[in-house]
Amino acid sequence: MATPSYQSKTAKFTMIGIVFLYFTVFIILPIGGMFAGAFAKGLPAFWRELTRPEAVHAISLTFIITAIVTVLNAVFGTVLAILLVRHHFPGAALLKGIVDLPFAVSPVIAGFMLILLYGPKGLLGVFFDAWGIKIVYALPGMILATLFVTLPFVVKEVSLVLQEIGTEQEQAATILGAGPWRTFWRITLPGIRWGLLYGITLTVARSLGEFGAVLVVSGNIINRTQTATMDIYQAYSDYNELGSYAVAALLAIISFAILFSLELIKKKKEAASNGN
Amino acid sequence: MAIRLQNLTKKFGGQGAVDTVSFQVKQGELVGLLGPSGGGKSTILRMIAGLERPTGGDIFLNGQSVNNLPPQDRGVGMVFQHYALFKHMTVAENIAFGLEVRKSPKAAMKERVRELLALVGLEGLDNRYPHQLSGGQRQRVALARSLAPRPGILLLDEPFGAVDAKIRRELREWLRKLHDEMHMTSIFVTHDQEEALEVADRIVIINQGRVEQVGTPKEIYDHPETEFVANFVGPVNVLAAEVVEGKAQAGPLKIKAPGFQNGDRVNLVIRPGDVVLESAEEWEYGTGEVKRLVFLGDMVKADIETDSGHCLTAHLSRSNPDFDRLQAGDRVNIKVDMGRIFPRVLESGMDGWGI
Repeated sequence: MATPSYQSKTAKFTMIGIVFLYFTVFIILPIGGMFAGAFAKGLPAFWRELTRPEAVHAISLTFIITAIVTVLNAVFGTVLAILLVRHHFPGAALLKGIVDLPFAVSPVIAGFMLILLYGPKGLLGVFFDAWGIKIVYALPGMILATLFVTLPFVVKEVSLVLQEIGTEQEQAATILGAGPWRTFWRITLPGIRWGLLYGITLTVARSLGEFGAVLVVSGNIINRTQTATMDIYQAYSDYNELGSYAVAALLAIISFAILFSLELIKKKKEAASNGN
Repeated sequence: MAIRLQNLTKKFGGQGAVDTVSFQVKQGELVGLLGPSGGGKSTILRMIAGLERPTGGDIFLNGQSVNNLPPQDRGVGMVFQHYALFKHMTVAENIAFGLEVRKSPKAAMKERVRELLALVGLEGLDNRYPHQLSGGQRQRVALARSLAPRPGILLLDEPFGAVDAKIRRELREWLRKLHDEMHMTSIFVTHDQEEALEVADRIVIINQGRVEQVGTPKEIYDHPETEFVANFVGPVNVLAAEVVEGKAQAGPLKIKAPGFQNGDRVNLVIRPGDVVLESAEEWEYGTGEVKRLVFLGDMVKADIETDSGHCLTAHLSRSNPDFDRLQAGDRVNIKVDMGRIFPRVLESGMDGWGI
């Protein structure tokens, strides 16, 4: 082929320019603005806002929810993925469809569905109420809401890897004398580890940032059921912009760390599947 | 360990994959399951291993029914078509897996791995990962891994399918040697007739889930019991013929047809190696013309059209005086003494140089 002409060079730089402009306007400037806002009055002010009692409570609540949801999703997501990919049973196709549902349903609607079911007058709510267990406007409901919106991540990532690695390695292990449990720990789990980790990372990111579903089921009670994202919103509504910027900046820093590890995992994943 | 299959049947969703298959494998024998792809060979192997549950019939290992025995307890080793090596484990870890499961002492395990690496000629590659090995090397690791727990039976599913031709030939010879040294009972699956003829003590021909014939390579090649077997193993000419005066006749070719009635429509199956061409002057046999010659190194393939319009292929070996002499367009004398006769099932009996 001939060397690139003058025109195509112009076109190329125009394209690159547009891409940069797009990123600057829609991503870099807002992020920059947020960090500028968070540190506008210096590090001590930032720290003071971050350590407001209600902020500390909200952030720790978010961490608690994230931790519980991540563990539950990692375990049940893996089990569900194995069932869906490896076993044929009636209703499997239906389940596969339902796994995608949380992606399609607005989180706010998800929250309302939980209120309808577990609320004081809900079908299951009445039952739990009789036992003195509060689901809605309490931690269990918030965990349920977060579980709902993050369900697909681990299931989808692990399913993909399971399909890719196939069953021959597991069969080879079985013939070599390994029982189901050993085959899972020694063969299946190492095989899906990068997919699982990727799914976990996505779950963590989404749990930290979830707002709508949790807002609806939590009732947004300060120092009781307010999470970090709600605190950001609350602080902003109360004209404490510095407070909202500070918590937002903290969440953003965590997100960047997750994004970075995500890229690393992706590379590992690719290397693992290339090393076929 | 001896193997006996009795009326073994497998259906997948109502569709038959294996249909009342019965055969035996003696202790120490190396048997090849040969047949076209999708014919049920691998399913038979997987049922012996315990990876598939038979829909019907029985599997006996050393006289004991193993129908309800899980794969772990059958004392069987298996080499998968695509090796199925554990990707996240090193060569040594792969080989040691079956020993580790059996809780062998560490030292004995190490010694056994070393022994097997030497056996398969992969010394020094202990710490490599499967993706760092060539196809032939992976195959050897898979074999070493399956041999580690000293199985009584070794099952190999298309063991040479995924390596290139030259390595394939080496691996074949090597497998035969290995089998003889290890005193195991082995079954391997292949769709390559040359491979089966070369490696196996006995061959089981499987087609559409059924056993077509069981026999030594020579029996299979020289005395095929069905037209399918004749066609599948080795090259053949198939000529539409009719039985006249107790002989199947196709143009000038006449072969004795015991067991057939005069007037029966049959297929006459002739190996190209059994077609004798003579450039002699006496025309006591049928005559024809050489249409095309193909040089294949050790032999020449000659496509002949008889004066009666039949097409057939002859193979001339290097030792034949006509090997260098024969030319396209030559007229030749055609002599055929050996041929197999099968009832013609399909009216469109193949008739031509389909080799």
